[in-house]
Amino acid sequence: MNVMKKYNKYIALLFVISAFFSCDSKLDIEPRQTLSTDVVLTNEENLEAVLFGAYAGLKGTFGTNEGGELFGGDFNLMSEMLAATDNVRWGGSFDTYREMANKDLTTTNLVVRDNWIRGYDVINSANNVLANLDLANTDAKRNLIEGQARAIRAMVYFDLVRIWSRPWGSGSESTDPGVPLVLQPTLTAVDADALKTLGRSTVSAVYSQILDDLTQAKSLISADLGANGTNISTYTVSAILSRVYLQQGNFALAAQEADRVISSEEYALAATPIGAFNNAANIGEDVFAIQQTSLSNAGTNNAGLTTFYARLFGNGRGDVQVQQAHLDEYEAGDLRGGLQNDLSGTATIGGVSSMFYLGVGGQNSGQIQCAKFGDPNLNIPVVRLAEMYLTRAEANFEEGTSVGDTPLNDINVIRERAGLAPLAGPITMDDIRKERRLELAFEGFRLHDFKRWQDPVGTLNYDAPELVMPIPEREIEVYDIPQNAGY
Amino acid sequence: MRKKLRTSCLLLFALLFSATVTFGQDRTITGKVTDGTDQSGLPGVNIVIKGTSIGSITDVDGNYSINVPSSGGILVFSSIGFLPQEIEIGSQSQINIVMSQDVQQLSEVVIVGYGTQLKQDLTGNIAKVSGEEIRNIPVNSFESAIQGRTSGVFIEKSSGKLGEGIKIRVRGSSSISASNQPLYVVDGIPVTSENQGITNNQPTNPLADINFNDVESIEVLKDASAAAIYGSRASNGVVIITTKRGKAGKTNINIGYQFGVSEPSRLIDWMNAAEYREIYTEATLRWQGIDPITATDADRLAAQQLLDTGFGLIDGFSTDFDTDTDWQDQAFNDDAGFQQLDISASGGNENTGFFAGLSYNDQTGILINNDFERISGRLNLDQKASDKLSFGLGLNFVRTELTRVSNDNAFATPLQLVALAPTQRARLDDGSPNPSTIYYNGLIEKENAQAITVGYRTLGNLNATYQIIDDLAFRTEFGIDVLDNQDDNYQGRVTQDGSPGGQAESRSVRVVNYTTSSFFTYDKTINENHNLKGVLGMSYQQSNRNLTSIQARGFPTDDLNTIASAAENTFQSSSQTAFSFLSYFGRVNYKLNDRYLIGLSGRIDGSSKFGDNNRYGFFPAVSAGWIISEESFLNGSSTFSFLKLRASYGITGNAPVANFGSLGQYAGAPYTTTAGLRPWTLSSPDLKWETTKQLDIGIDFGILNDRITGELDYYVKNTDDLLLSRPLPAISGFTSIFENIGEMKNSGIEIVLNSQNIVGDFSWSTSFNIAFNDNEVTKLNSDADIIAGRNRVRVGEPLGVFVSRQYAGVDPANGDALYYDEEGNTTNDINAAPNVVIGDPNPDFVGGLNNNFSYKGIELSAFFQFVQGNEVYNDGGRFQSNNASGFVDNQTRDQLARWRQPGDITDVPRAELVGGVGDGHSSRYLSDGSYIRLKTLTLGYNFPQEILSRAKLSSAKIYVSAQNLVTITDYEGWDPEVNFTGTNRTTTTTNIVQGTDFYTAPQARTISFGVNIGF
Repeated sequence: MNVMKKYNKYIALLFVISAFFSCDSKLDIEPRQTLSTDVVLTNEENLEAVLFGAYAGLKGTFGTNEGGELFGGDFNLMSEMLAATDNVRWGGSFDTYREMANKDLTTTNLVVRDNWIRGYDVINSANNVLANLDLANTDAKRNLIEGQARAIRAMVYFDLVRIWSRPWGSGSESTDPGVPLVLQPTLTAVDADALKTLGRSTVSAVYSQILDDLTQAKSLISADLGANGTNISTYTVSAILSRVYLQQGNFALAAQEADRVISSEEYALAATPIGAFNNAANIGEDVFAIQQTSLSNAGTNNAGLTTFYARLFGNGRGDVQVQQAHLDEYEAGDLRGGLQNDLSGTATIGGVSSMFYLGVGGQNSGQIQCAKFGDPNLNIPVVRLAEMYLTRAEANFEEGTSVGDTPLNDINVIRERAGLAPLAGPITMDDIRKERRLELAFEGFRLHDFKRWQDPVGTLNYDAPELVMPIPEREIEVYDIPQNAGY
Repeated sequence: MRKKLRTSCLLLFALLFSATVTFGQDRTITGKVTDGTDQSGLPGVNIVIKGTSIGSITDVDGNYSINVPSSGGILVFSSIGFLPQEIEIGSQSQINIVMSQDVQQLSEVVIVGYGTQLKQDLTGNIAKVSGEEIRNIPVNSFESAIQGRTSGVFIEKSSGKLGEGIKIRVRGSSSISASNQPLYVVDGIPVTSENQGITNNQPTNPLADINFNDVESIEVLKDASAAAIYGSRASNGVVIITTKRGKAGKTNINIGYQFGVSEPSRLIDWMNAAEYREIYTEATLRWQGIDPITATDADRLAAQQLLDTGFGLIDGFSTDFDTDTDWQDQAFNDDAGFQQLDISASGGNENTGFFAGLSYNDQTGILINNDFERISGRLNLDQKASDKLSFGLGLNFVRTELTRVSNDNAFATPLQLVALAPTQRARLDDGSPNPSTIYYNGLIEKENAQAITVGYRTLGNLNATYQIIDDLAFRTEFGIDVLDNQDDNYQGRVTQDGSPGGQAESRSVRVVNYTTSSFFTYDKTINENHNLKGVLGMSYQQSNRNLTSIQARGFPTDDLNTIASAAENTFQSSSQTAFSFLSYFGRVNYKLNDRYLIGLSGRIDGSSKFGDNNRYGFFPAVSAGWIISEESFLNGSSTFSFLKLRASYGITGNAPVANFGSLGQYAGAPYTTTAGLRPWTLSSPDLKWETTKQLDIGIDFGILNDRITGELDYYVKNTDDLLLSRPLPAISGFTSIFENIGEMKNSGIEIVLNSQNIVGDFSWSTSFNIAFNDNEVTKLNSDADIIAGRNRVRVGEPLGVFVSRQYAGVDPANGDALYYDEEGNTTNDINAAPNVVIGDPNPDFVGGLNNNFSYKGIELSAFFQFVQGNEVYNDGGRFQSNNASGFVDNQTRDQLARWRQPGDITDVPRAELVGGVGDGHSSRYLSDGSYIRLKTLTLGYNFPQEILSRAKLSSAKIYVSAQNLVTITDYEGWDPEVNFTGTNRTTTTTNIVQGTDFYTAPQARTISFGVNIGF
């Protein structure tokens, strides 16, 4: 038993050491770069941070390999490339965009896939915000947060439904498959798996949801949030509403919402057409713009608008090559149609004063490039005041009204800024549409305007299945979601 | 009868008496016994006259004297760890003998987890390499030194670049997304061994910090019964590294110095300027629609002008007919080589032992801009404070400096120089690199960019042992491993990525990893028949990793290139992460009658990496052994001096790589200047380790008095709960969740044979090992393959099989490349050919063969290593060997065999500029990757004792050694031992991508000279 006594001391020691360590807490290590989900949505500050996370998602910055999705570039490129005819060609090596330009998309196209993923990622962020509005400390704050989250969700759904569904106006909106409408946050894998049976809502159901979100957002976001700050303002919401109404052919409301933006007098056109672009901060013309900096942007090398539109020293690949046919559309003296052909090999966007230039500084040099996106660290306009004039003019013309002003006057505002003589009138639908095509060229409007106008894209009818993106293969493989016609 | 008996008694008495008398007439024999490996005197050697009990023992210096009968007899010299020798006394009065070490002796001590065992008592499978065996091998990391020396341990360097990560697979791969590398335990501390570099560059190797000349032994725990005591990190085997410690006796001071020169072990035959001009002129003519066979000289010149000024592709192609640049030569270093200096002292008395070592290693790689330097200091101390209490200390400080080259996929990497046109100059008249090459000239990078990683490593451990009673001891250990790496990269303003103002990156990583363990050990023999050994204890480990990284561009001049001078930051990040393991472990070994062995072990592992619902895992193992040679029917058998059967079964785990994989998380997502948060991962509360159940059945044997020993093992490893990401509907906002889903199986046979073919003055010993492993993925989360380049994970196939199109050669009619379609017919449309399994990067078997010869101080050792039955895919082949039908890359010389006119029978399609004829991924670029290498050939000479004593040295050896002297392979690239795991590497792609070559550097052939002196 003496022996046992000797043991006892050490057994006791082992137990002391064990007790010291064995508290489970030693195994509870919290991450430092990320936050556990259960501690995130617990206060107003974090709620607002999740809202800003949704803004960041709109830009397409974050992720592992991708970049430049949604308003960071692809919503623009998908529209411009899918509607490319003789105005522009894809001269780059990425087959993802080439497939769009060739109207020959595959279901495994990575850009198609990544934008689908990113779109719903942002929607999930917005849904998380909307499900936790009670965390806001005041009603005012709550309204502000709710309004922005609804606006973001609506903006994404609007482009998703325009890209992945048959167009509004084809007459079968109430039966055409739209996109799945996810309105609740995904908190667990069980939630995620439950969505496998959700299916696609109809195009008209998706539009209804968009309008519901936007009309609520418009009144929730008070005017005092500021006009052209970096956040979505009540006028941004009106601008987006005017787009949605215009797309639906609801011209009265489109004119009314566009007019609300213009007549707020919060915005002013830049002095020159090119002045509306390549700005480090919002200018008077920006109703909403994607904010970029050197540390936070939609891509510098392999993604983002500058990468594909620019061909300058150190920036861009010159893949989107504007064709002479497009330049030929501009009248002589149109500031929006100038071509600069004398850039030095080391020119950056600061040295470009025309809207178009011959690329310099590397592979693909010598092609005509559009100067709207010349530096990855500068802002990307999403809604400009000029669009509001064009929308108001078109909607008023269609409706036979003069909400705010006459179509002729609105078009002449844009023409005068472009250095052109005002039209004498009477103005025609063709005048208005041409002005819109030229003013908003390469800003992502082309496909949606063609579909709206029911104009053919080359040899393809406006509602051809080739002009609708496929549901990504990775989705089809995971659950039962109906594919679009033609794929 | 009685008379007879009496006579016998008398006779016996007389005999005894006379014997005594004879012994009374003894003479004295003296001599010295030395150790064959270093010529040092060998203390404690037993010397007996055969057939008598008369004996003696050598003193501290190996000297002895023994009285022998004048009639002579036979002296038997024996010592543990050495082969016994018998010497006829004859008329000699002085007998000096050299004893050879018996490295394979079954009585040797083997390190196991938290203790030691005699090799003959092992019931598990453990491979051991002694430090002596790998001493002075001119490589910078111990894993390459033991390559081929341990059966069932497949070691592969990914390239000939210095300081890069090395792949080790113990009994095959058992994971897809978690690590397949073993757990490394150095002097009781699980050390940091993972890549610490950026994911876009080749992985770094923190194990290169260890100077393996300080290593006493390396044990690889292979089966479950050996490894299960390391629980949830043991599925891939455990490598235990034990450093040298001092022994009682005089202080030994050893100095070793060696230096060597290196060159690429193999080169590729590239086209010279004339051949290049010929094939690209032909390719261009065909592109123009002109038949090259009938083309006129004017046509040819026009085609050359088109390539030159017309397309602006190849500057000078139609004017410079003199230049002939060997770009391959430009990629390699003329002064590659290394030097290493080791100084060590060891010794002690009965209370204190010490080992102190200092080492300097400086390697200049075979690639330009690739150097490695290591300075390492070590002090190991042991102190007996009392009969009961003893302390130990080990400290290792290391500084490494690695000059790195760009990853293989970058134009800037040296070996991509081979793509450049031999018709263009490497340098301009002023000596600067030619800037108008067809692709970026990597020499610009060489001279205007640098990438240096400086690492500081501290490994320290403290331990105390208290002998509570005779059989029971308590030991407590504390170990710390601090790794600090600083990367400083700069690309000057004239480089591709650095223009226009220069670009810099500064990155710092610190990993602090500490472990405490406390355990009781028990060792008791009862009634001589029962022996019981046990271990019971616990341990806690925590590892914290901090990283800061910043990138900036725009520098006033290339000479002022720290971030402070930059105009603009382009990237910045810092991160902190950690994991912990809390473990309880125990083991019992019972031995009955020295022949029946039973072992039980288990570990409970809890980890911060596991989900809430599976915080702790239990990893048990059971094993049994039967030493048949101890049974009466074999005891004394002249055939089987040793025979043991053993079997084990156990469960081990493999922890996930991600520290927080089980948690639902939000990540930062700033918008403009406002900090934002976005959903990042969904929680996976059931997430746990991957589980491997392993059965091992083995035989250990010794034949002819252990002159031949060997091991034979059969094993089956079934792994389930493989961590895989399960795809989710992306409309949820998440694309996947990490869950325990898949299954994989490995089975194989391992054979080890060692023989002392000849002993004595001239000795020859052989060791041979071979291991067969069969890997099969048995379950994934869907039928879809997991794809990483050409390698895939597919149910029913080995991990990483090559899947691509099957190349069918060339159509003699038009030179088209042909492929096999679904029906097995040929087609010239690559898209009509299905993707099929075209090869397997996993070898059928691997092994090594070592022969040691020694004669009077001269030693020769030849070590071969071999890998058989695997394929290698040359991903760069599409550019290197595309019959000039791609862009204008220089081509391998074998492309001259291209199809030229109807009727030509060849397997190289026609040359046609940008025609893309046969340059798609296909089995055309797949080759047999089997090889045999004369890995190490060493010739050494140990100076004899007479010279040594005059010089007052205890040992002196000079040697010349060749590493990778000969490689025999059918592979036509640089080196079949290759793996480029791609950019944007993840653990998963690292596991899947195997046997892929992409402008990947070959191993170095190194010839070195060295000297070791002992005082």
